[in-house]
Amino acid sequence: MKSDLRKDFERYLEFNNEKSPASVKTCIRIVAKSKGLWVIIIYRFGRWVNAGFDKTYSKPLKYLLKLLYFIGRYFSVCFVKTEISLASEIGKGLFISNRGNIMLGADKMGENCTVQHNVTFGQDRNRKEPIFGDNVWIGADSIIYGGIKIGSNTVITEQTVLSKSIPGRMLVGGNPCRVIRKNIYDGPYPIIYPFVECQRGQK
Amino acid sequence: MSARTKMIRYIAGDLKRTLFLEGVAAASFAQKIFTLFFAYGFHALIVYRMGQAIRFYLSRWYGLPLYYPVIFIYHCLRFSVRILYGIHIDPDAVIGERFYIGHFGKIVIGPKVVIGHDCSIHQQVSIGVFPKDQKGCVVIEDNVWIGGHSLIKKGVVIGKNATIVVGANVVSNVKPFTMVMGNPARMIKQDFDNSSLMGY
Repeated sequence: MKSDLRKDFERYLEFNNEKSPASVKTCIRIVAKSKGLWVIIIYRFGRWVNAGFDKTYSKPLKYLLKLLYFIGRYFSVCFVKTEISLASEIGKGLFISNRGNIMLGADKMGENCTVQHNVTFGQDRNRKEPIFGDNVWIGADSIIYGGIKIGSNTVITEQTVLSKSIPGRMLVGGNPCRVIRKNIYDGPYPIIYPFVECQRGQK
Repeated sequence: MSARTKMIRYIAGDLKRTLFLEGVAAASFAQKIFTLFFAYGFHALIVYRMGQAIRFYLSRWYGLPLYYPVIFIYHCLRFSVRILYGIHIDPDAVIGERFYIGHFGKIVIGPKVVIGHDCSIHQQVSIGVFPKDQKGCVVIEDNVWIGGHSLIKKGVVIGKNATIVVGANVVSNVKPFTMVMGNPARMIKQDFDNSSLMGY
């Protein structure tokens, strides 16, 4: 849990144009400013509690900590308006927008992903959830549903509706979804300004 | 039938439907209460049904002073549901029995909206709000499934057993038993049986 949270925090430092390692003052300022980080902390805490505390002498402690997690989940729904389901496995370095209205119901997610606001990952009729690779950049107002696989290093533009699988290194977008460009970028990750880097890679 | 029994009947129908669609209809009592704690749409619907009963009593002169504290509590609850969950249900709307709201989020149901029985709605849906200049009612018939992030314009009639896929922008009338998708909404399937989505 600690190493995961450290990489998440480094991504928020990058977003605010600060260098790591940072002083205590900047750490406190950024943690207070970014609401997405609160949701990620609560999610990682819930996963940590679920993974351990199986022995008989520590079971009451597990129930207590689970109660704390559920209070935190209610708080994140009411005040930050995002929800990360506990059944999903999300890698290190996740960045979630601070504006909210996000529902992450993914099955698996790789490292160094960015998720913008007004995004939902959902289930389809057979109750299956999508699987993501590493370094995915998901634009605002988009919906991804179904039991699909999305490859690594893809960029999904704003306002897309995706329900089919995608191989890696692609730029996709639209409602319904179409491929815009293939083999976009092969450089240092994670992607921060995707459209600039996609055009640069093309040349 | 008095307004109080009517409200209880509507709330019981909504409760049965939410328990069934969340998958806990056959589970233990503790698990049912646990899922109800996180069923945000159900909380908003209770407040809406309370509002409908209060409106009935406000139109009668003899009940008014007894209901002052209840009216105050109702307005507090409606305000808090609007801010915390983001669900705006206008008290002028007419909603039928066994309604299901899937998640929290920017759900807006404007005035002049009539919804039938056994419908279900998901996150970030706005019904009967745009465009602001025009006037018109939205009529949604029975057994309609509305996917998330969709927009329903004023003056639209949606037929029975229709499915509106995720992310649709409904601008014109929708025929019954069809499936509709895209921006603007086009028909992609005819005679589509959406009973599997409803859970029956």
